[in-house]
Amino acid sequence: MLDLASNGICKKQIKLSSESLQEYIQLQEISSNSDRTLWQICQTESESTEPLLLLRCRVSHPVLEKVRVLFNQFQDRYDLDLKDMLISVLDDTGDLFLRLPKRREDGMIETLRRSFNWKTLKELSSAQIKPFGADIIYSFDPDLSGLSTWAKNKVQANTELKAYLKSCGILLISPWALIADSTPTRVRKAWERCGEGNLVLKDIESLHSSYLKQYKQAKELFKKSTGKISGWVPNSSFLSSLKPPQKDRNGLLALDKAIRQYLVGTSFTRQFEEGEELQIENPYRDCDEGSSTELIKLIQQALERSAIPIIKNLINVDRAKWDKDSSRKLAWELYAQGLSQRDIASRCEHKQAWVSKLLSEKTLSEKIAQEAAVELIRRPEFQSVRKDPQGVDRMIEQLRNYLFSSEQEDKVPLLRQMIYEVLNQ
Amino acid sequence: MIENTLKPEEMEAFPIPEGAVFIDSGKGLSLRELAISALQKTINDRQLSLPLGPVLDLNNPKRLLILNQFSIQVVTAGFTTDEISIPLAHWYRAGAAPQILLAAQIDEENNVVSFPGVLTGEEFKQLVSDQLNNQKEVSISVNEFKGGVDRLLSFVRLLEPSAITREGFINQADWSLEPITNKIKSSLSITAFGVAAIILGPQIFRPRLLGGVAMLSGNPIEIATYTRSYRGSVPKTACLLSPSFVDDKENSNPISFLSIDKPLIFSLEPLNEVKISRGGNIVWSQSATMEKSIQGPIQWPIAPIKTGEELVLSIRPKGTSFGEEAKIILQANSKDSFQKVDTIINSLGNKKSRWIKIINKNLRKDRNLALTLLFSDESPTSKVLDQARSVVLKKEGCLKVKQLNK
Repeated sequence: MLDLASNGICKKQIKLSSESLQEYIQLQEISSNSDRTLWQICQTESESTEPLLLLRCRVSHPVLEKVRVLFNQFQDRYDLDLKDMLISVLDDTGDLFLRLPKRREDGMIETLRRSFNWKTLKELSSAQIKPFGADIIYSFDPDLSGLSTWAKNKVQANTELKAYLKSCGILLISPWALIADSTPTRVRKAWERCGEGNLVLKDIESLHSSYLKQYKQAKELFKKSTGKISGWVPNSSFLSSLKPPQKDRNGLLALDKAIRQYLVGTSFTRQFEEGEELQIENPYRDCDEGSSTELIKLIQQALERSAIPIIKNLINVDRAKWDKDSSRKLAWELYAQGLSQRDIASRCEHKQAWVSKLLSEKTLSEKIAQEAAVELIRRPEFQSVRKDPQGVDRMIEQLRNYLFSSEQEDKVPLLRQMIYEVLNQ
Repeated sequence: MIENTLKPEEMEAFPIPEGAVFIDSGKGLSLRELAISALQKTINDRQLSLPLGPVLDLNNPKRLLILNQFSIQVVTAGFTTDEISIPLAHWYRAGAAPQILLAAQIDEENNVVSFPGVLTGEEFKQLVSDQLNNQKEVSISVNEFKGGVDRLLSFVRLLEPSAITREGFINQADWSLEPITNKIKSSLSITAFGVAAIILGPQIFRPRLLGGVAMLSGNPIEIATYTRSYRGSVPKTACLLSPSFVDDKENSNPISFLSIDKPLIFSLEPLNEVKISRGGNIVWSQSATMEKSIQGPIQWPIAPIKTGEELVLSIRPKGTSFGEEAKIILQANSKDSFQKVDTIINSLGNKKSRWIKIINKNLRKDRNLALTLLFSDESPTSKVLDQARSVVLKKEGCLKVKQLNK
């Protein structure tokens, strides 16, 4: 069994006392059939702990595999900690007993020690079933998919893992939501390029079309009956209502996989990693001769008046976290000195996405530019922009550029100057 | 019992875009409710006092939002969607149509809302004008929405409510590309004049290289197709940044008048194929592979063009079939207005300020020259030039506000 220990992931050897089980696993290869057989043995020998323990060991592998893939895909850009990711999904220590809290008549809570078998799981509500591996096995339906796939989909839907990743800036989207979000064009392109399996394109298009029709209704029903927003998965009746009817989830999961493969390389390119492209120096200070210096002064003053309170507010909110994490303060200081986000990340020993999230350069500059524009637009020189949406776009863009641009190669841009000023007040 | 399952990479999860709003609500809110909550949260967080209504019927999906006197249609879709469906009922109400379309991408399982951006009524009409057939809704790519929620707030805070029309799809039967093109062209020229005078006029904004390159946009060019397309389908287009071109009334293909002998070839969208022909014979071509499409600038790949020479550049964007390509005639100017790129480069030497100055000066005057120099291998090492190149490389396709040249 794979388990999370203080020094990393460890492999625990479990010794089975049942000779028949020992013989079975030595003879059998891992397959959907062997998983199904073991899962059935868990239920027929419902008071025995070992068949269930064997399956608990078995699911720990796809769980780790899934989390590792996630970690590897995002660790370069996001501050992810593999142990933090695993803490809620690889939480099975291999015990043969469950410790169940029970409220006594006097209001005190006592812990009951119960045998970790199928019979005990049956007595618990779904929310009570822990560790996560037991939840995977107990909810498993071999008619809908294999155990490995089932385990990975459960990881994908794990609430704690989702919350952790969300706090790091990443969203886990279920296969069912991703398929529902995809247009026929994307599905066609994804299947043509990455589709695997028996279904031909025509079948996939038909399957997707029928899925879209049924999904909304099924999701609404789920919301009404459970009061929950997340957690919907297609059941047998949903699957059989699709065209062509599906016996299991494999067809939909193959489509999900093709979409995910198709999307690799397209989603990342849309990211704003940092506003470095805007941090450009202006070598033309001399060209300003003869221009309306009064107007330049006015624009600069408007930017400064708008920026200072916004920056103050942002830094004051962040200042509360500096005692716990001094690298946040350092990041602001380095930014004010003119370092790039990449260099700040390296000096603060964080990933670039952490710096990007902390500074929120794009949002910050947009806010300041907008406030300055609101002030400037009251002046007669800028009145006609009020009638021109494209003029507004350009005005904001130019004001943002001005914040990021310095007047000379060796001078710090205005936004950074003002952050420096606020930090040193 | 460990499985070995090596697989090609899949998109396991999705990055949350900067500016996405997290809603703290245990209640099962509808998509519209989540979008409105996110909008309200953004307005509150920024301490703006912008009236949002209809106050008593805010969550009615059939109602338009009124934000600071602007009428707004909110359209919602899933977080990973590529297209958004827009109900059109409001757009047929002349004088009461939405002024702004606000797109919201929502992950309701995680209560996260991201606003990819907005389209003004005019922009939306231009996008869909040739698809309208009295249908109830129309789908457009999420990428058409620009500027995030900031663009919405800028519009409602800075513009007069009358600055964006509410006329909707009036006289739909009369809609055709020609009058719209003329209308837009004339409004663009007025707009461009106004913007140039007001925004670009002050010296504070004028000479920046970044400002100049940021404002460059590609020229859309219609792709000739030999396959039958269904009625009302949007013509496919390519998007070329360099060489620039104009329509030629005597020719079915647009023409690029060249003042230099080695122009840069730069499509803002990935390509499957690029070809150069002389007298009907292909003299150079490059094709994409399964793994890699052709992206970014291409230095002039063959012998320099001679004065007065005519070549044809053909480009086939990614996602198009064989035979679907856009052609541009490359017409070299006569001797008195034709220069050798190498001669210009030699005269600039290694002096950064000279390079920056000539590129900046020519961004408007002779874009082909400016971009050829900007992406020249001979350009000096300069942070300014590096970052200007970065701005250009990050451009994504043509601005949809522009109509096809045809």
